[in-house]
Amino acid sequence: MAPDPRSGGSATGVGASIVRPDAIAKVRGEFEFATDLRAAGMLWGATLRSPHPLARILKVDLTPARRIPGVRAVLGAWDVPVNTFGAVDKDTPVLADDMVRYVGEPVAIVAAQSPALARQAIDAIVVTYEPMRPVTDALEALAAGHVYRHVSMTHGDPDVVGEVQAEGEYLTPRQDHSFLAPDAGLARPDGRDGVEVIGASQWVHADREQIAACLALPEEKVLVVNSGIGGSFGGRVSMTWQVHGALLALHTGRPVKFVYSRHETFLARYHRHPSRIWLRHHANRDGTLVKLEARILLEDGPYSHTAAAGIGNSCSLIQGPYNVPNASIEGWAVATNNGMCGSMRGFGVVEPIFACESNMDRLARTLGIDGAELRRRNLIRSGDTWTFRQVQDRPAPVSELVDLCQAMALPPAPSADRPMSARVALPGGVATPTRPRHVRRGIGLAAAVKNTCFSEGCPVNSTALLTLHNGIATVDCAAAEVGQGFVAVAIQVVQSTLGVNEVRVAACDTGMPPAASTDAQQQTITSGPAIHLAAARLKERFLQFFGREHGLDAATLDIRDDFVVSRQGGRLASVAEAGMGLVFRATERFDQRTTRPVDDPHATEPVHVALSFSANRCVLDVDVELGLVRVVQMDVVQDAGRVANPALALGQVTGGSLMGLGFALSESLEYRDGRPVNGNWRDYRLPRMADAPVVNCRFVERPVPGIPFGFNGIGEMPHVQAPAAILSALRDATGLDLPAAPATAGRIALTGSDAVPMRLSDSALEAFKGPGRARIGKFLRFQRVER
Amino acid sequence: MNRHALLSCRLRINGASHDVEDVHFGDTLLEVLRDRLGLVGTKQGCEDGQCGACTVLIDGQPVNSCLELAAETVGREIVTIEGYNRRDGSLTPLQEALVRQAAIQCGFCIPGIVLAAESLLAERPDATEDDIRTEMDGNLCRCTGYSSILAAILEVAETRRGS
Repeated sequence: MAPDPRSGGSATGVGASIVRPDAIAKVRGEFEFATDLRAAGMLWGATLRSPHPLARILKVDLTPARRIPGVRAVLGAWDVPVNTFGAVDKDTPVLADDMVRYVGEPVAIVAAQSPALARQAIDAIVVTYEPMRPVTDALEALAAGHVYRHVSMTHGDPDVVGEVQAEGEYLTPRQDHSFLAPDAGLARPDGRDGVEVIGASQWVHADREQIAACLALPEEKVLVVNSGIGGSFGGRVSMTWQVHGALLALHTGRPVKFVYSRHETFLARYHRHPSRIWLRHHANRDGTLVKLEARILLEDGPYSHTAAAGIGNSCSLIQGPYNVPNASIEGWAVATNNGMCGSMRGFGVVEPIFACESNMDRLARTLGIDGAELRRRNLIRSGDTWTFRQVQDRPAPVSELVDLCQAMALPPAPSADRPMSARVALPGGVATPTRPRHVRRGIGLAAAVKNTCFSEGCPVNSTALLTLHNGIATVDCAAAEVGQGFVAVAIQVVQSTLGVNEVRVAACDTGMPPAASTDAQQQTITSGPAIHLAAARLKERFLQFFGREHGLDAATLDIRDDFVVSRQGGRLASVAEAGMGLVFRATERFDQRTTRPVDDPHATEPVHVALSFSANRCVLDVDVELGLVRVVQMDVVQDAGRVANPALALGQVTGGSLMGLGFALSESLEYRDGRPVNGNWRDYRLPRMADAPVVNCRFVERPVPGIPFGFNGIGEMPHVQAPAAILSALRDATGLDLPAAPATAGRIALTGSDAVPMRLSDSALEAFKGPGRARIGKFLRFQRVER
Repeated sequence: MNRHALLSCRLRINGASHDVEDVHFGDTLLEVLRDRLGLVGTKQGCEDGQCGACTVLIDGQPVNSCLELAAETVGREIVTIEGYNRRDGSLTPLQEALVRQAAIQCGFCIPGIVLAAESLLAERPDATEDDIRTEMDGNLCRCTGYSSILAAILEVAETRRGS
C-alpha cells in the first residue's frame, strides 16, 4: 500500500491515520518537555567532567565550590552509596572515583540557586589528574585483548570455496543521535524519604532499578516519571543526570533540575559504535551465493553498556536478507577511551547491512551481473535457515519488495540548464558552487533485514491496564512515547478491540506495571498486543455485566462505535449508560517468544523474535569535481506487518531515511587522541531541509503470525537500509569503491584516498588477535532480567 | 564594565511589557524567556544558532534567541509561540496544516518551525518548494525527514495564493 501522508478524518481504529493525541499541544508549544520542568524552590544542577581520555585521579578538592554563597551541595564519588550502574552490566561509575576513562566522564556534581552559580561552582572544584596513554584505536584494543564479547560462529561447511570471490573491508562512523531536546530533567524528594525522578527515558523501569540500587533504596522509594521526550532514536536507554539529580535532591531536600548544553549532551552520552567489517562473498558463476566469511570489529567505550547486544546483532545479520548456505563469522566488541558507545536506531545492524550490501555490489561487478539481479537470485525465503540456525518460520516477502521497488517511477533526469535560482536542488544545496555540467546521476538498490525486539535471550514483554468508566477508556502502559507515536497506536488498538472511541493514554511512570523498552522497533509489536489483550478481556467483562443486567446472553452482544449492539447490529445502549457509573478494569501481559544467544550451540529457541525486510532504491546527483551530493529520491518498500497508523508509519520512513542519509554522507563524531573534535551542531553535520530527498514509500503488509493484529517493527528499518542504497548509487555515479561512510565530499572528490587498507583480512588479522580478555571495563554478561 | 554588572530591562514580549530585574549583560534572550519569564514554548536545542528550536520573531524577523542578548532587545517587539497562538485555543492555518500532514513527532522543533515558516510566508507569499527548502534551512528536525513539514508550509502557501 502507498500510505496517505495525511492524518485526520473520521476513521478510527487500527489502520486509520488518526491525529496523535499530543499534536495540538505540541504545535502550540504547550507540550511540556523534560527541559521545561519547574518546581517551587528548585535548585540547578551542574556536572564537572573529565578533560582527559584516561587519567588517574590523585585528588579532588570540593571545598572552594562549597564556599560559594548560594551553592547548596557539592558531591563526589564518595557520596554515592553504590557507585556503579549500567544498562546491562553494572560497570559504570556514577561519579569517577580512582580513574577517568573518557573525556566527559562525570567527576563531581553541584546544586546551586541559579544555572550561573552552578557553573561557577563547577569551575571552582580542583581535581588533580595523572594523565595516562589512552587506547584510541579499535585494532589496538583488539590486539591488547580489550574485548567485551567475542562471537565466533560457523554455518554449513565453512571450508567450501566459491568459483568467484569478492573481498572488501568497510568502515562506518560514530553517529550521534542528535535528538533535538538535550538531556534534562528534575529530581525531587517525595517527602517520605524517597525521590521522584522526572525526565526523558526509553525505559522507566530499567532506570528505576538502577537509580534505586545506586541510592541503596528499595525500588518503591524511587518513582521514575516520563515527561515529554524530545526524540530518542535509541539514545535514552542509559542514564546521564538521573542518579546525580536524585542524590542532590536527597542531600538538599529541594527539587534539582538539570539541563545539559548541546556540547555536554555530546560529551555525556553514548554514540553509535564505529565499525570495521571485513567480508568475503563466495559465489558460483551464475551468481548463487556459496559462502560468506565475515569479521566484524565494533568499537565500544570504556564501559560495557550495550556492547554485547550490538556485536550479537551484527554477527547474526551480516548475511543480509540472503540465503547463505555456508558461513564463517567472527566478531568482537572492544573497549577504547574514545567516549561511550551504545545503541542507536538500527543497533548493530546498520553497519553489517552497509558492509554486506557494499560487498554485494562488488560481487555483482566481479560477476558482471546487475546488482538487483544478483540480489534477487539469493533472497531469503520462508523456510530457509539463517546462519544462526534459525528457520525463517514467518513470511519473508523480500523478492516482492525488490520487484515493487524497481517498478516505482524514476525522477526526471537532471537538466544541465536548470536555472541557477534552484541551487537548493543541486548537489551542495543552498549556496552551492556546483556547475550543472559536472553533475552525474547515480542509481543504487539495496535490500535489508532487521530484527524486531531485543534478541538473544533478553525477555521482551509488556503489561497494560485498561480502565473503562462512563464510556471513556484509559490506557495505563509504561511504554515510553519518545515521538514515534505509540500514544496514537495505543488509542487505535483500544478502538478496534474494545469498540470505544474515546480513549485516553495516561502518562508513563514506574507506578504502572513494566512495559517493553522503546527500543529495537519493538513497542507496537509488544505493547500493542498487551493493550489488545486487556481490551478484549475488559470487553468480555463489560458485556457479561450488561447481559446479566438486561437478561441477555453476553455471547450475542458486541460493542461498536461506543454502543452495545446486538448480534444483528442494533444499538441497545451507549457504553456510557450501560456502565451505570461503575469502573471496569482489565490487566494483561504479552510476552514475546523466548530467544537464545547467537553463539549458543545447544539451545533450540530462535535468536530473534521477528525479522523485518525492506528494499530501497536511491537516485542521486553528484558533482564529481567537488564531491557534493544531492539525494534526489528514495524509493522504499518495506515489509511492515500490519500498519497501525499509515501517516505515522510513513513519518518513520521519511525520518529514518534522512537519518540514514546523514550516516551515509555527513555524520561522524570524530575523536583525535581520545578527544572529540566536533561535538556541536556547527561541525557535526546533520541533514537539513535542503538535503531532504523525495521519499516514496510502499508498505507490504504481511501480518506477523502469533501477534495480535500482525504488527511488526517499522521505525529502525529505514535507517538500516538508507546508507547502503545511497552509497550504492554513489558508486554507480562515480565508479569509486567508496568503502567508508560517511562518503564526504573529500572522500568522493579526492579519489586517491578512496581505498581502506584491509586490517581484518586473512594475512593482516594475526597482528591484532589479542591474548584474551584483559579489559578496561568489566566483562559483560548477558542480560537476564528477573521480573 | 564590571563582568558581574546586573541590569534592569523592560522587554516588549507578545504585546505586553515585562520588567526583568538583575539581568546579566551576557544573558541571552532565550535564558530570560525560559528561566526568568517561564515562556518555555521557546526551546533550547543547541545554544549555538544551529538548530532554530529557539526561534522567536523580533520586529517580525525570525531570530535565534540563543544568540540574541536580552539587553539588546529593549525597545523591540518580541513574539514567542505563546504570543503567536490564538487565544481561543484554535489552530492557525499553518498549525492545522502541520497537524494534518503528520509533521509532528517529538515536536521539539515545532514552535521554532511555526514562527520561522510564518515569517517566510509573510515575506514570500509566492514561496515555491525550492524557496521553502532554502529559507527553512536554519531549522533542524531529527524526526520527520522534513517532507511533512515542507508539505504543510507549501499547502499554506498555495492556499493563500489561491484565495
